[in-house]
Formats: sequence, structure tokens, C-alpha cells
Amino acid sequence: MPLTRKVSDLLVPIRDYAVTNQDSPLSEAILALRKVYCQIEVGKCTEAGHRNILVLDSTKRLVGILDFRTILKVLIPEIAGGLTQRLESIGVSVAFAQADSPELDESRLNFQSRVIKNADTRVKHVMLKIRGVIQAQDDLLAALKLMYANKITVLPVYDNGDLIGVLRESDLFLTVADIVNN
Amino acid sequence: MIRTGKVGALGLALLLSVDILAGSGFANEGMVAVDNTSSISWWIWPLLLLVVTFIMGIAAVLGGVGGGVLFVPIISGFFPFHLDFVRGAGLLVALAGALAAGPGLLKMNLASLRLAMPVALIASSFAILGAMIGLALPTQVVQIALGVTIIGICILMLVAKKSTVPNVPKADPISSVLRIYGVYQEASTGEIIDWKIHRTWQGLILFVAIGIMAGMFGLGAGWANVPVLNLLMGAPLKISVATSKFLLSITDTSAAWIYMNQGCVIPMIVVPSLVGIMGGSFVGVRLLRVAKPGLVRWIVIGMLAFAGLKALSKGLGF
Repeated sequence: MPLTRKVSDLLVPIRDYAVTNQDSPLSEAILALRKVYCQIEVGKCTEAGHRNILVLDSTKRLVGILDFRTILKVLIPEIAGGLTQRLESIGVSVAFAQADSPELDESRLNFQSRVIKNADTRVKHVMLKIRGVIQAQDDLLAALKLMYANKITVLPVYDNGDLIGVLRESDLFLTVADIVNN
Repeated sequence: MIRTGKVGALGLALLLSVDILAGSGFANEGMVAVDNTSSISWWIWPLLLLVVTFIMGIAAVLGGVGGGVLFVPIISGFFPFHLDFVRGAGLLVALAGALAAGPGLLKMNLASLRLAMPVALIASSFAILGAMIGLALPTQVVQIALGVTIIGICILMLVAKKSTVPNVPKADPISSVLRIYGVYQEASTGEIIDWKIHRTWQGLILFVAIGIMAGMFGLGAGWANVPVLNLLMGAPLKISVATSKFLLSITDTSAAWIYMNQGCVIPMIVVPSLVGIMGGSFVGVRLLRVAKPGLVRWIVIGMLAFAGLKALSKGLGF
């Protein structure tokens, strides 16, 4: 029964995962994630690339996580952002227009300039909170339950208090798919 | 240009029609929002207010003026509402725009907290005083002062210049002690701009007057904040505009409490006004990308001057 296997059997080791520091600019995190994602896509693993990057503090403690959607919300808030972000973006445009200075409104700049400027945002200001961790010796069913209860797609895995890897939703999917396949 | 001209013409036509309606048997005196002896159904007024403020929101964005500056003279001049209710609503109109923009401006590192805080402390304290003075003075006196102020704003709009990055050779001692300086990156060029300010005490004294006027007339104060921050104190234009907008959220809140406490904020006026002007502003921003607003600015200045004269004539009893 595949789901009786342990988390440690399936996790992605931390050395293979993209990590960044909470004080780094988002641009650094993006490049690190891009590098890992692309490397995995072309060679090491044909199943699924990593779509998240772990955020560590100065003591190497896990403090947050970034995913594609969160990154795109920061880079292009007027398109990928939620209602609040889009309203804020319009509010800023209104502020400059009402001051008779619409040319100063950065949302009127070209797409590339805005993306580059927004990529200067600090990681700690936009990262997602960690909403659940799991121990290496727990079984996969417990991981699956935790993931769906907390509506998350990755679970940091700890062993004796040390972060040793990450368990991804895609890995669990492939495990469950194996049951059908067999 | 044709589109913006149509917007302006529609705005003027609406104002004139409202003026005719308002003139048909309404009295503005006494602390009632709208005279209840009218044969016109009560719901006409909020509906008309919604339509007029929506157009006003568009005109404010295209014309480069704050919503509050347009709202108070025009609504008090052409609608049969008592001036106190209009001023209370005007503060909330200005506040709504400031609150919508504030978080974004802070996140973009354009609104400077170091610059805003000392100024806000003075402006908001005196905005409270201004609101108290405004509510204590006879309505005619406030009308006359409002008319004079609006005409002054028109002149300021016509003559005031702007300086993108003013030359500040040396920060003055007060701004150095308060650590009012900063850095921002100009997104269009990638240039890092180091800024500092001078003439701090002169600026702070002017914010006493700005605070009093903001509280007294419910106009918001962006029209005065930006020239003082930019031309007098030497903050870059981008920082001045952003800090001014953020500043409004503090200054106008203080004054709004006084009006609220006196019962001068009533939902029948405030709700359609806020919805209308915010909706209009959002549409105006879209139009700004395709319209050439030069003509609209002249129309807006003309409308303001007309409303200022109307306020003067009301105050003087003509």
C-alpha cells in the first residue's frame, strides 16, 4: 500500500530545493527559483519542477514560502493582484492624476520597467506564512490530510528539529496515481 | 478632445439644471439637510448627487484637482443642502481618495512617513481647530470665506509651477534633526534620487493655515500641500504628491471627527457622494489614457471659479 510509506521516502531533500533569505529582494528569489525549476524540467526529474521557494531567516530557520502566484501578484499587481491590490493601484493613479501630475504615475510606465521595479520588493514583505509542517517519520496519509486541511501544496519536513526537505502535492498525486496504475 | 469636451459640457448642464431645481423654493438656512416642504421626492437628491459626483470624479481626475475641492463649492452652491453637511461630506470624499491611495503609495516607497509625520501633527491639530471655527461661525461668513478661498485656488491652479526635483543645496537644521530625507528609485530611468528638504519651519507654519482651511471648509488640502512640499520645502514632486495624499488621510480624519460629532455627516449625502466620486475617479483614470485633458482642466477651473463666485454671492446675500 503506497500510502503506508513514510514522508522520508518521498521528500525532496532540502539541498535540491530553492531557498532564499527573507531580507533578499524578490528578484534574487525569482532567479533562484527559475534556475531550480528549469534544471529539473530539462534533466534531473521529468515528473514536476519545484514551483515554490523556501524563505529562511539569518539563522537558517524556515520563516515563509513563495510560489509562482505570489510572485506574479507582486510583479504585476494590476493584473495578477486581488481586488485590494487592484484598487490600491487605481487609487495611486487617481492620486497622481488629481495632483495634475499623471506623468509621474508609475503604472503608466512600460511593462518591463514596472516588473523590474516591483522585483525590488523585499521577500519578507510578500512571503506566505508556513501553514503546517510534518515530521519525516510520519506516514503519507497524514501528510495528505494535513495538506488538504490547510489548503497548501507543499509541506516542509523536519527531522529532530532540522529542516531536511519538502513534500509536494505533486509527489503525493503521483503516489496516489500509482495505485490506479497498478 | 471631443470626448472630454462632452464630459465638461454635460457637467455644466447638470450643474445648471440642479441650480434651477434648487432655486425652486428651497431655503438653505437652518440645520436641516434638505428643505422638506418641496414637492420633489426626497430620493431625487441622492440620485442626482450620485450622477453629479460621478461626473465630478471624472472631471477631477482629468482636470488635475482633488475631489474635495470640487465637491464642496459645487454641491454647496448648486444643491439645497446646508453648508455644514456638505463640508462634512467633503472631508469624507477627500478622505476616501486618500485612504484608497495611501497603502499603495507607502508600499511603493513614495509617501514619506518622515516628511508626513511632523506636518501631519501640525495640520491635523489645526484641522480640528478649523472644523470648530467653521462650525461656530455664521454660515454666511463661512460662505464668503469659502468663495474667496475657491477663487484663490483657481488663481493658484493657473499660476503655480512644479519642479520635478527641486534644488536643495543643504538640508536645514530642523529637517536634519527630524531626519526628513530619503531615497527613491525613479522607475522610468532607474535613477536613484537622494532627496532632502529645506525651509522646514516656514513650511510647518504654512501647514497651520492649511490645516485650518482643510478643517474649516472640508476641501481636502492637496491643492495647498503639494506646492508647499514641492516648491517651498524642496521635496521632489513625486514624493510631494504621494506624501500629500497620505497626509490627507490623517488631516481630514481629525477634522471629520468634529463634523461627525456635531451630526454633520449624514448617509443620505455621504453615501451617494462617495460612491459617485470614487466611481467617477476610476472611470476618469481609464479615460486619462486616451483623452487629452488640457481642455478639461480649463473647464474645471471655470466651474470652480463659477462655484466660488456663487458661494460669495450666497454669503453676501445677493
